[in-house]
Amino acid sequence: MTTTDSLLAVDDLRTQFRTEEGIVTAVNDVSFALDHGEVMGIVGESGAGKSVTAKSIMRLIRYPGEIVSGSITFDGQDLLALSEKEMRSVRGNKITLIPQDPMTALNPVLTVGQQIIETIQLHQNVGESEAREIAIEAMEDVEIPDPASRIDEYPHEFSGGMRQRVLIAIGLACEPDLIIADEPTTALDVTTQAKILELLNDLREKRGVSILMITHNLGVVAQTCDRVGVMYAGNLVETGRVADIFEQPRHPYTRTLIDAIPAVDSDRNRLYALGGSMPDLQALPDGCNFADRCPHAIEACRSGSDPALEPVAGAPGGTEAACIRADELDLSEPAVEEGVERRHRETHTEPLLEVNGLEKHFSAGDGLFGNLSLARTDGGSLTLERRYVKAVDGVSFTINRGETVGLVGESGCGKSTVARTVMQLLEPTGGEVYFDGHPLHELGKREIRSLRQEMQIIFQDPKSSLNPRKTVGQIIGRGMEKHDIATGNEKRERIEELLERVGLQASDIDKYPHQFSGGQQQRIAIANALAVEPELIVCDEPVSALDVSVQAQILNLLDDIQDEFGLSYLFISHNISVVRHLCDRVAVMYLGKIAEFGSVDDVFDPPYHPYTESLLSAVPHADPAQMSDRILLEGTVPSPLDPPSGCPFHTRCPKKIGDVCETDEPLPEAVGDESTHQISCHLSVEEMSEPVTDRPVAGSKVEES
Amino acid sequence: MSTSRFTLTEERKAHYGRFIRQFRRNQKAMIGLVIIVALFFVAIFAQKITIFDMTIQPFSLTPHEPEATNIQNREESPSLQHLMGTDDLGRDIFSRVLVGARISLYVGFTSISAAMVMGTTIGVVAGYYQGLIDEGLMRAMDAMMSFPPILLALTIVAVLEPSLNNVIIALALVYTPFIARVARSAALSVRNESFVEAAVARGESDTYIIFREVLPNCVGPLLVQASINIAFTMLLEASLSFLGLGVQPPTPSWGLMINQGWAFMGDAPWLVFFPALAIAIAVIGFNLLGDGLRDVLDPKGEIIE
Repeated sequence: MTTTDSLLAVDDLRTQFRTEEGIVTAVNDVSFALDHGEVMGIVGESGAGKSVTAKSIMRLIRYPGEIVSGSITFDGQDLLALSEKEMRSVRGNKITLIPQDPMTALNPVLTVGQQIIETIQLHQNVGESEAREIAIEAMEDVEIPDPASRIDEYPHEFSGGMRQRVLIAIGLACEPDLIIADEPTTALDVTTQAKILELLNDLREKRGVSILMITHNLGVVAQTCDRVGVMYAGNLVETGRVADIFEQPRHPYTRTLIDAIPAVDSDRNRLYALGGSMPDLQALPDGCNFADRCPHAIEACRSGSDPALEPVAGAPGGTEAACIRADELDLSEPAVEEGVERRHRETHTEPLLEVNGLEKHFSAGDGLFGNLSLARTDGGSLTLERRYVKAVDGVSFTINRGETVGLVGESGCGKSTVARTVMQLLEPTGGEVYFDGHPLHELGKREIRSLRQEMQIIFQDPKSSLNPRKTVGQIIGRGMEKHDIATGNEKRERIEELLERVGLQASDIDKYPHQFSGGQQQRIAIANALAVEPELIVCDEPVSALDVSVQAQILNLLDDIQDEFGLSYLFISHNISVVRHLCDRVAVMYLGKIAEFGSVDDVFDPPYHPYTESLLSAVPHADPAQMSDRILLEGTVPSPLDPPSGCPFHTRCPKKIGDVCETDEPLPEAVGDESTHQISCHLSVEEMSEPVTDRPVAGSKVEES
Repeated sequence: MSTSRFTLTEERKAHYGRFIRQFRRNQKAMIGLVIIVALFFVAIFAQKITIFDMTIQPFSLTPHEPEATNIQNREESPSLQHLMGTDDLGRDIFSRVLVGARISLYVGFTSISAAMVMGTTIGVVAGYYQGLIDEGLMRAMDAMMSFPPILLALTIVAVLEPSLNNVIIALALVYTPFIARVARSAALSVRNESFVEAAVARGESDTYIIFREVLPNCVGPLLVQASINIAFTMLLEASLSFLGLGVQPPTPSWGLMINQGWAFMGDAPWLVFFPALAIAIAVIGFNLLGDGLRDVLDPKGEIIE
């Protein structure tokens, strides 16, 4: 399949790791080719072998890993035949890697300039000053403002998105032919992600550089790639043009991946959740690796060897799938689970949780004196003042019985602090919290402790939320004992029932948390929350750490148990699609304040508040046909240590109308007749509905809505 | 209630059953345990087994008195009569090493146990609460650590009046800060795990969270720290005894024997070698046991046969 004109050709690549338990084949005979100027995506869930493939191409596999067989031809050169020294002149020069986490990928004690110049001088025969010029140029290319002065700054002076740009600048500095981007936007906020993706698209158009995009996010693939390869358990199971694959996937796994994503503009249909999990790479089943989870598997799938990637009859050119039934299956329609009714949104009226003007300020700095700082007041005299991070600054909302309220916003906007303050895990600085009529902000420690039974929390990282030294039974049982719900045999029976209810087995009761996968651990955490029969469960990013197919399972589970156990949820997420899928009402947070609060339809369909609008537009659609007009926000989220005056969003708002935004803080105002939809913005609803234009900012007429 | 008691004990039984199974399968722990048990056996029955004068036929039952001096036989090299030779006063070193186990193990084990209890409590509390409590406790620990261990121990014993038990108290206090620091750093990282927050959300008291949720997850580094420090306590005990504040000669302890034999290193190295070997064996034993226990207590290290 290697074509002579392709830039990169990977043939039958096999990479193995030696472990105590035996040999693990992480990449199993993978073949693909990448043309000049092409962007190819490699998608798959964690453990599918995406990153190992990328590292194998750069020959970065270290002991106990080893490239066992296959060939990697880059620009006519066999990379596997090169000596380590020759390979070094390829890495960072011809092929560069953009790592996943911009926060740890830069050396904190060197200026960003030094780090870019280092790469340039390593590969190009240029002097110090010339290298500096090239570095500034590269920073300009990645749209870092004011590169000539910022080049001498240290990484900590850059935001996450800017650091990722620096890393891209390092990657671009030597004008490589191929960029391998390993989850380049996974650690970034959605608005920053949109900008980085835009940048990569621009660079590719301007420079004609090829990009191999490793990601788990099909939305990213749909928005940036020409072709895509889907990986599963070390195999490439499908490749083809992005448009073709989204139109009609040929491999059942691709179909399930697409179906598992809640679409940002869809209603709350039940998600198609793929059962089970990826097979153990050391004990691959006979036949197709995917057969055990495949809804279309037949007898023939479970015998013989894993099917090879082959062209599919009747499919557009270039589409290949590793499925023996690829020719006969029609997977163009989403799989819909039969017999599952769409849940209707109901109106809930009886309030369970009321939050009024909640505030939480953290002292900036450690210790007694850490938050003191010298400040020059208006008069010009120096004064000592205490500084506070206003993580939550006047937040009000209500949750009714049986309702799911979403809290959405970018990282650092205070979502998690709201959750913890509402739960009284953190003591609020100000404001009122009423739970079922009880004023939590007035109650003593002991009274709150007895109310804790009614409120439970599910955390983002399931691994960290279960004590590794306790068995599942001990973890779940403790809450039951603590609140006198059940003891002894009754307790054990209940735990077993709960485990079965959340999709685990009764026999799992005596196992330890580390014996479960991430999704199963999250199920245990859910069972643990249910054990004390709470009224309210706060879900703090419960699916962010999970793979997309597992995410769908957990979302469906949360949805199912809501009516059954009469639960209300406060659902915190940075993922708008997930919030939109699960929630009845939603609050959009920005910098410690609520920008907009209302029913999911009112808030998102269509979006009114400029921030909501830009958030929504930044989400990459998992549909290549639907190229959204992204509204790219300028700058970054201001520091909550020193929030902007007036409307907190005015520094980045594309619809800023003038001085009023800078001086007056907009209060939440009801929209239209519905008192349930509140927006904090100086614009009128009509103005908000207008598309973003380059409106003159200075001196424009101030209009109050 | 009766059924609940019953199943609770069943649960406990299953728990201990697992512990014992895992312990048996862990080679390190088993070897360590055998060494330590053997040493304790020696310490308890030392007087009864100091009979190995191979020259008297048939195996004489007249023991060498560990405190009996015999100037004519001073500094004899190891022989069948004196398996480890004799010291500068002609005392049989083998008997003295056996009897010395008593003092050394007693002092080492009790003082480290006490230091563990105090240090762990202080460290875990400091790490859990952070802030002012942390600052206060840890600065106090720093103050204690700023004295050389020997000087601090000396002062404490001098204040309390010299006796073996006061030596143990002094040693426990001296090694508390070392344990506390390890406990604090372990607690600091465990404290940030979500399960601690989940416990607060469940309505647990601070005491429960500190000792039932946080502490079990700090055990690994603590056991290792303790098993290393036990050697230092034995040596420090020797220094104190040497200065006349601990065990008084002629009562033997390993540390004291090393200290006193030091001067004869050139002529009679066995004076130092054998007690040092005994300390080494004890330390290896405690280390293996500590390491093994750490693995046994960690569910992730489960050995399945």
